[in-house]
Amino acid sequence: MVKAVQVKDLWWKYDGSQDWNLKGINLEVEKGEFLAIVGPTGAGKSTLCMCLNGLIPHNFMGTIKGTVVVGGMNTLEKRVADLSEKVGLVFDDPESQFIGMSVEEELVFGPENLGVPKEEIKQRMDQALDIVRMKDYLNKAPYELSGGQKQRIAIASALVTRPEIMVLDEPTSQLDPVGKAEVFSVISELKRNHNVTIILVEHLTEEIVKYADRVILLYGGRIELEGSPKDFFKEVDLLKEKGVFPPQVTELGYLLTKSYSAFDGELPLTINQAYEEITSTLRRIPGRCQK
Amino acid sequence: MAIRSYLTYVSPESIVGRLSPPTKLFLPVIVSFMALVTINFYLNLFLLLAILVVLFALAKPPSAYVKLFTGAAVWMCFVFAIFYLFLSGYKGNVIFQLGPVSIVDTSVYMVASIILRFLTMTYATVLLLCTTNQKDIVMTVRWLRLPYAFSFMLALAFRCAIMFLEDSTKVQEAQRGRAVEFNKGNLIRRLRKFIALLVPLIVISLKRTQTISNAIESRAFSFSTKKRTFYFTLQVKPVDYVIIGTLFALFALLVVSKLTLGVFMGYPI
Amino acid sequence: MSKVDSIIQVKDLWHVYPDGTTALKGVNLDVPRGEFLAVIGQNGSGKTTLAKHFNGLLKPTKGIVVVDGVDTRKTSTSTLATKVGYTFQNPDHQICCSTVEAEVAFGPRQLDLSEDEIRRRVDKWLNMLGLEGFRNEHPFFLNKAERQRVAVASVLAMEPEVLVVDEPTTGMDWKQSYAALDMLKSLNATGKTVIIITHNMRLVAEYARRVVVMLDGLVLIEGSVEEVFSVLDILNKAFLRPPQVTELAHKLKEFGVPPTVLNVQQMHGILGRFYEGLS
Repeated sequence: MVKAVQVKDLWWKYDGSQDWNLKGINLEVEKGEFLAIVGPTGAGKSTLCMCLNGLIPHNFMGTIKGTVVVGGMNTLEKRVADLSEKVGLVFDDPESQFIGMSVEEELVFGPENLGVPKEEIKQRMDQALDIVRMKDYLNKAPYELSGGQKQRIAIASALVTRPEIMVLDEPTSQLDPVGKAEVFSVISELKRNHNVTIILVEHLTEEIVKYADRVILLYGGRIELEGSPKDFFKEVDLLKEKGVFPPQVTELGYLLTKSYSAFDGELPLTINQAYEEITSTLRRIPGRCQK
Repeated sequence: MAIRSYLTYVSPESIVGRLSPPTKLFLPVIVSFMALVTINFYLNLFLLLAILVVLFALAKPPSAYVKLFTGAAVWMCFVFAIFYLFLSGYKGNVIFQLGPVSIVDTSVYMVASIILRFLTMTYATVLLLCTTNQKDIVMTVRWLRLPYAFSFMLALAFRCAIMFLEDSTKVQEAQRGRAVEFNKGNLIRRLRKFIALLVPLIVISLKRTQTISNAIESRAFSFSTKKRTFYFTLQVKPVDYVIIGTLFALFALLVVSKLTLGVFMGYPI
Repeated sequence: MSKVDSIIQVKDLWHVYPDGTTALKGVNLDVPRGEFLAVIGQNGSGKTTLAKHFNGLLKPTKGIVVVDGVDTRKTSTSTLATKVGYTFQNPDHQICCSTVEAEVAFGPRQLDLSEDEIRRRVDKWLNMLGLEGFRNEHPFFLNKAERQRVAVASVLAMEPEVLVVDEPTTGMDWKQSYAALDMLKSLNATGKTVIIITHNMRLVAEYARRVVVMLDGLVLIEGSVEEVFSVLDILNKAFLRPPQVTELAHKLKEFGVPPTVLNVQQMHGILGRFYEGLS
């Protein structure tokens, strides 16, 4: 089966940069997989995202080595415009992404550029708005929308080009908790009901564990750790040293395991998991039961 | 945001508002040009009355606009009057004398004409502002079959203008929080304070251009598109063509007669 | 708490914006001197509107705000800037000079201080915020966390009693966020009152001592961070969730775990005592 994303030995250096920004990245993502990328600021996460849709190398001056193949297309050989039919990219700033004067203008922009017939644009627009749950917002202007709403429209305007792969680069970092929740619910919807391959860059590890099939740690331009959320977040010390904070309950589980051999090596990823494990342990203590 | 509301307001259902965008754009623009090229009291008066009729009877302008523009216009007219009556050095028959100060009839004709023309353009602008929005302007540019790049950059410019305005409010607040008082101090100090306003705005705009460029590229934008769809279509009805055609014809007539026959150049009364 | 101890007093504060929206509907608040206060709530709850009254950027439509003894309605923003420093979410909205040194000197220059005094302050605050190494750098080339420190330094150079920081950690990773809060904590230890507006509940739990929760232009609840985080249902009303360990603590109530657990270490300590009983 053709993989959604195949990155082979990717090296990239921005012109004027002292050191390579990406150092030998090897990454394969299956169709429909949900991959999360974590890492400190400057690790190269945004750079990697832009390599996935061709912005790097076509829009930036620098040196590239290795190959990136997305949806069967080699990013070095195809234009960014062509790659946009395979990969949608959502950035972290809701304000600068919104270039139209209304939601409708914003959504038709991508398909217009691709020469999609009018009727089909209408159809795609309706579907995308359905997914992001903003059906009645067609005529709204950007200043009438909250940050979370603008980001949802940014996701919708990436969806209208019908990409197989959605890359989201810290989509919630500028949003308040309500906005964050709105965006995560859209991401969850995409994962559950639409066979889109999702690549998400996020700092909020507590949300990542809910959706990701696989997590990778990017540090200093290299992938330093990779695995399922369960295996990945077990490495609490390594992660914290590299600037990534696992979910609090996982860190708690790690400390309790170190001190008291709790959790049998299976660290909890969610509050419920922690609750289940802790209560079953505490109930075994004679005398110390429910008050 | 007051300025933002000016840029985006369109008056509720009005007769002019229902015309197609090119008409709504050309009407005030051509009338303004007509006012510019004619120096004839009766014609100037006619144009002013025409635009006032269209504005107040057919367009429903909000009183805030009318007040603002009228206020500014009155001031400008006062300035024109002072300049042309006392400082222009026109020669003619003196009609008023008080000591060394004299007013000649040619200046009076000139002032009258200028005031009428200026008011015509002022109210044409009000008409433009309250019947069209950015979309109309962008759609008209497309309708004129200008290259896509023009209409796109125009649309982007409108959006960026609003972002710029929002940023400028934030920068002002940030600097005021550091004891910068924008309306105090001599000219040089005010200039320095203005720079404290300008530098952050420029930096933010520069950083933004990179993000915007990434965003539009990621959505398949490119200047060399072989075939693109235009989702929004313009409804231009026969009545619009008639109006626009008539306006252009009248304007052409005025220009030709001014150049060839020298008609309308005199100061009749 | 006597009035003398409050550096900011807000009485029945209403604020209506020119476009008609009522952002604050009768807020009452006392900020004790030297406090580390977090103002939390979703966007639109009025938290930024409230904070902007502290340095006079906004004046009350009704009600009164007293800062260090002066009524903000009767005081200019430039005077209030020497009492309350305000840094915004995006440091780029503020940075206007070509070197870090000039940027930090900018505020004091507006106050017409002597060159010696300006130099003293610049040296002091560059040092306190670990920016000495960037003294002659152009702020444009620093990363966001560094630019944020420059912005804070330049506001602190005005030597206000209170520092208001609006969303100090947006766009930063965890390490940078903790570093920023550590910096604020050491500032608070020198006696300055620190007020942060933030969405990051984990950092609020670990650093703030008092919390104000805003909803729809009113104070929903106010108190010590332990008090506020122990009333889950009120937090939910304001669309806020406490950090994971606090939520877990609430769930483990039946086992005698107090609902006032604020960080992982505390929870580890508490559960540790139970686990010890097992081994």
